[in-house]
Amino acid sequence: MPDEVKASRAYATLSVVLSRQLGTDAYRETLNALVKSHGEDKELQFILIDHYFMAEQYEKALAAIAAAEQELGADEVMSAQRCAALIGMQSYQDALVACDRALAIDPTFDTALWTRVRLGLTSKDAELVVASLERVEEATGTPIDYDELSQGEAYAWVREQEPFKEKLRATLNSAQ
Amino acid sequence: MRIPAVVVYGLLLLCAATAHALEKPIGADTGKRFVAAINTADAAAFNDMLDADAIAAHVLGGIAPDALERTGFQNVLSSKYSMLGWSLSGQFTAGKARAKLVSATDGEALVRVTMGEPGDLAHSYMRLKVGASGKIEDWYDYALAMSMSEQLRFSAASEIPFTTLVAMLFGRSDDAATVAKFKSFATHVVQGN
Repeated sequence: MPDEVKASRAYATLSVVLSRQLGTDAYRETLNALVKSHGEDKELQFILIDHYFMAEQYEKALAAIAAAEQELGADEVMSAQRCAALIGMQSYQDALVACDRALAIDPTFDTALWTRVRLGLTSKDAELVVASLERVEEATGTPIDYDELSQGEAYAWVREQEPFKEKLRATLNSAQ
Repeated sequence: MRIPAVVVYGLLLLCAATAHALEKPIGADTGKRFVAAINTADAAAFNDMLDADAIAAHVLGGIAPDALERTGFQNVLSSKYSMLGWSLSGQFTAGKARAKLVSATDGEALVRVTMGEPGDLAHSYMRLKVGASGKIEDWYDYALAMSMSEQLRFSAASEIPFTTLVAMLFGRSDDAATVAKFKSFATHVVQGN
């Protein structure tokens, strides 16, 4: 492939779009090439957030989110993304602030609701998990099947914790 | 000192005019209609708000082989894009898309589009370029890092001679060496390397 072609933004972005059809590895590879060739382009910061998350480069993800906010505005999507990046950096208090900011903008925002649950699971805060799941129920108007949920691998730790067990008991009792 | 009532009235008018200017009605109105068309899966409305001629002009970009040839390409592409909204609307519907107007200026509207199922949602942003008629002339899709016209340029390949296509895609085809390089590029792509 001629270098002149490889260096063009059209080629780099087309490669990213096409690689999505080929699987995660190809997608990561083309995003990596895009970062190297056009990583500073402000219109590309949104697509690069994905790249930094996949590469577990959370500080760079935060920088890309901040740059994308300059271009697109600071909405609930950006706050939820920031929450996820801060979870990756184990900055749990700041992550909670970011998640709650997203939910202050839109209390029904699905991505932020479930990212908040993940924050509780990752930081091993059982009370936060239960409180966040209750917020999901409140926002969606749909009760969660805590028994079924607790069978998931991600919930292995929390299902042994008292706040979760108490919630599970309460929901099972109310169902009888 | 009291401010004369006429001055106050004048200031009010000025504020009203400024507020009107800040509303930027063309971009905002089109943005709202675009959002409604996606959220109600209204393919006809979606198609109606696309300006096929302007989209074709954006696809051709600054390339002007000669006036007659350009008019020919423009007509072919314009005709091809006259039903573009129907196919795009189908893609939005299949992806269970929901849209929200984020912001608008006089000639632009920024729309957020969310696709997928609860618990596994993907978000993107589209910056619509709105013409004076209120119709959409092009948009930039931040999840693809590409404008609609850029995407369409690749599919326009079958309609347009190679050198013109090269210029459209990569900005120039003004010498034999460049064309040769891009022919090499095309060969590599076809061969998968």
